[in-house]
Amino acid sequence: MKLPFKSLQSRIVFLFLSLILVVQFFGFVAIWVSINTNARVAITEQLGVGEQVLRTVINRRGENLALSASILAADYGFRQAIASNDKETILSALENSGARIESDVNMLYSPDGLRQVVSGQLPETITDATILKLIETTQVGGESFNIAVFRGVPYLLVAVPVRAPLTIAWIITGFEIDDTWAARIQDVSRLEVSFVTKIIADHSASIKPKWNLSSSTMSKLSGQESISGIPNQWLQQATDTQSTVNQVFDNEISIQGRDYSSRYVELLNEGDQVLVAVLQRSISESLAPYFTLQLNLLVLTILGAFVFIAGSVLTAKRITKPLTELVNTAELLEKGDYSKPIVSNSTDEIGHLSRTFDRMREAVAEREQKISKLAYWDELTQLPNRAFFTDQLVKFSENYQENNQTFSVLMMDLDRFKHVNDVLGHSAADQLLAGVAERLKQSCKSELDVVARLGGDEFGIILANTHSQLALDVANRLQIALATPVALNDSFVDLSAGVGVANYPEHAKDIEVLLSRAEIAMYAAKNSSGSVAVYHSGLDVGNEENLSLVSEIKQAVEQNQLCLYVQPKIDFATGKLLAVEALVRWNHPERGLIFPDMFIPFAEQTGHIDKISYWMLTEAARYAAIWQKQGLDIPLAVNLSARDLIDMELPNKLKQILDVHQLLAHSISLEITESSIMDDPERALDTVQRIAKMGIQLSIDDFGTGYSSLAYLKRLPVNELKIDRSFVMNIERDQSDVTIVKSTIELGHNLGLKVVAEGIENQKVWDILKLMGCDYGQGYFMSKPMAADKLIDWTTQWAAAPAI
Amino acid sequence: MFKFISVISSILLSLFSLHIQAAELSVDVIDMAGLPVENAVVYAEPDIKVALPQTAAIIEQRGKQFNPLVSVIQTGADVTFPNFDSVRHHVYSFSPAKTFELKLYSGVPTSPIKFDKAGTVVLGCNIHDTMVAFIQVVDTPYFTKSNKLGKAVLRDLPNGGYTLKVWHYALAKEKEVVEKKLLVKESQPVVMQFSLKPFIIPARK
Repeated sequence: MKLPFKSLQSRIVFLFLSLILVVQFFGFVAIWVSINTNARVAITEQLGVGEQVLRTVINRRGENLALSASILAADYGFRQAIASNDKETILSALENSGARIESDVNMLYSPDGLRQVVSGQLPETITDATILKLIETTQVGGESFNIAVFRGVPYLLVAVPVRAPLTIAWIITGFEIDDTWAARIQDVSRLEVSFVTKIIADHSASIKPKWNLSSSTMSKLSGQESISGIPNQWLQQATDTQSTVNQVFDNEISIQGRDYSSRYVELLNEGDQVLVAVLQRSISESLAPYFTLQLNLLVLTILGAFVFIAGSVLTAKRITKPLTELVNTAELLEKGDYSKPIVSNSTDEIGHLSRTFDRMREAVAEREQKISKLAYWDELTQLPNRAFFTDQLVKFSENYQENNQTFSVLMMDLDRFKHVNDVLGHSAADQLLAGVAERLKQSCKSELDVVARLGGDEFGIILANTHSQLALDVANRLQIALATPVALNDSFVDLSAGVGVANYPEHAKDIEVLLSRAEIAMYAAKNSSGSVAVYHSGLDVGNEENLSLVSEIKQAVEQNQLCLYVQPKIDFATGKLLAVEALVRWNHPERGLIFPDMFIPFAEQTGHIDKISYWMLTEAARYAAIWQKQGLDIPLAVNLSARDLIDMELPNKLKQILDVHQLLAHSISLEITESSIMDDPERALDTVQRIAKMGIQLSIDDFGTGYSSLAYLKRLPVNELKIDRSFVMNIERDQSDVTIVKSTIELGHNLGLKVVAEGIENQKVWDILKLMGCDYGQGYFMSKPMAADKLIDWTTQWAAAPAI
Repeated sequence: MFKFISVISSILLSLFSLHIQAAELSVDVIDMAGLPVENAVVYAEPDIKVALPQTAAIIEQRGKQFNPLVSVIQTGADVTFPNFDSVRHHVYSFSPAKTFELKLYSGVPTSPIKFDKAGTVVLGCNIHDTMVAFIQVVDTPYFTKSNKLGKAVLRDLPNGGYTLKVWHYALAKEKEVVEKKLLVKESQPVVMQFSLKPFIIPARK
């Protein structure tokens, strides 16, 4: 059998319940059948008893009649009255006797069958013929009582002879069989009793005889086919047979919707005179006492069913609860949650299953931990890897959606790692990475922070619950942590790194974008003199505004939208103009003048920087030629990028440019930063040395911001150091800056280099630097950068009235 | 307890020998089936009335029965009713020929009862319903009863004209007496015929 239940529990409950219901149902049916059978047997017995009661009542009353009449007949005075034909006395004696037993008929007949005296209201229907027959029967059979029907009314009659000593008269006395009889019999037998007579209006067979209910305990309903609900056909059947006496038969009939067991007792069937007594017992009444029994049974059945349901539910629960728990645990396992143990103390199969399942859970959890560790772990640094880092970023971003907690991403790339790798070997490089990882971990105190190795020498940090300034603080802390050299194979290696910071959701709401912006910031940090940079849109090529600039840079060069600006370098000793630094401005057709900060980084990233550098060199050469013709012979210093330095053709290009304008090498000088060399020091050094050999002067720009080794500086064929403006600007307030600048000047002089200070903004700074022995100065105090065209005018003006 | 004898046939009475000379009339009483009828009263009334001696009769009560069942007496005769039972009796008659009663008594009543009217008198006892007796009072000295063989003989009849009458308690018509006119010269038989009604009479031992 296939049950429409999905759960084991409902199947068990259904099975148990079905069984109990089936058992109860058959029990119920069996009891019902038995009750019905017993009730019908009881009814039949009752009907039998009822019939006995009926006959007994008839006999009793008949005997009463006979006794009463006999007493009268024996009375001497009564006989005397008859002998003397004293009718008045006879009548009163009859009345008196009749009153004693309340008989309905009291008459006196002569021996030769003549009606002599009639007492009371004799039913007119009583015929002499019937009486004479009764007398004759009595004469032949002795004292007896007879039933007679007169026009549908049944009577019980008795004839008693009056003897003196021969019969001198007959006393006829009788009762009408009326409702009191029916009631009396019902009292004793508890049956419904009806007396039905037949009235034959016409003897022809065509007219059906009419049945008449003479008395009954039932409500008297006359119908065409039935009488008080008793169908004529049964009455007919009760009297049809030719059997003479006391035919009895039973059947069941329905009267007004109630079933009755009926017994038909034929009391008289002689010619026109027919009397049938119908005894009836309501089956439903007989069954009524059993209904209580059945009701109790039903209640017991229902209670039993409930008990069974409860029991089977409990049983089913006991079976299925551990299963459900196993299912739940399995679902958790499916989701990857291995934390919930399955506890089962039961010793049965399910307990065994549970324990086996739990061992499986532990084994799977252990294996998955191993696998995920492999997938998310970097063995070298004992840090999570990029995959883990990205997952964590997703979680952090989800956490932001829920709890509005911001976070920052720091991305760090070691400077010169390739160099370390090349010089000290892979093993040392690995040790270096592990050391860096250790420092990073120590720098990030918060449990929530995530430090990961993203690949190569690149590390990523997620700072939880932070904001821009905090992130910057951490970044600076990292720098400090890295400042201590790392000991490798008995030697110390200086570390530096570019750190890029991007904040979520301030800088990006998308994890990918956030990462790429942290990276952009990182590269910006590495490119600029600073080692930490927070992302801003200006850094980003991907930024829409910048993107258009990037695409327009090439155009700008080709369409000559760039213009050359210059800023003078003044000799501290003489106050005279000694040289100018060539700077670039973009005269954008729509946006106006754009400063180099806005587009040089992109030019570097996109590879257009060589075009700009070439343009600058060419333009500087052109002006140098113009100014020389006007009598101003000063060098123009052009900045070169790291990319320019690895261009092997650069010396040739320079030579060509100088040749075009018929210039000597000293007319152009070049400024390079420490970091631009460090990207590929070998090639850069090679290029620089070739340029130096051409006689072109070189400067180290932004000196002091990089962490370049003095060993490199020593090897560089430079003529000049440019102290970064960040040291100069605060020199009047910051003693450490004074020390740095002073030391740098001394260092430069000791190496035989000229020292230039940038960012001089007032007289005081000028004076301090002059005192320190700085060679040249550059800054707003003397002159802002100006268009190259205006330099001639400026020199005239400066010569006339120098600001210093 | 009552016991009934039912006589349901008719009785044929036949007189077949009359002996005028000897003045003796021999009468055979039989029923219709030819069986002899006992206790039939047979009497002859002479056409010329004669002065007649009145005789007395005795009807005794013994064993709660009247004895004899049937008596025949001449008009004016006295009848005594001696009681031989230990119980008392209450003898009565409602018959028109003689209505009387002898209230509860034992032994021999002080005076006899005189029956001075011809006819049938039915005797009963008010205490015992089964006791019954018949007295046929006749206006002639010539009377007798048939014996078990149905034979009755009237003797010493002077010659002359007579009306021969036969009565039985089971006669169909109670008051009708079967009669026949005849002239007595010598002994001769007489045949008479009549029907009887069904009759109920208490049983006799």
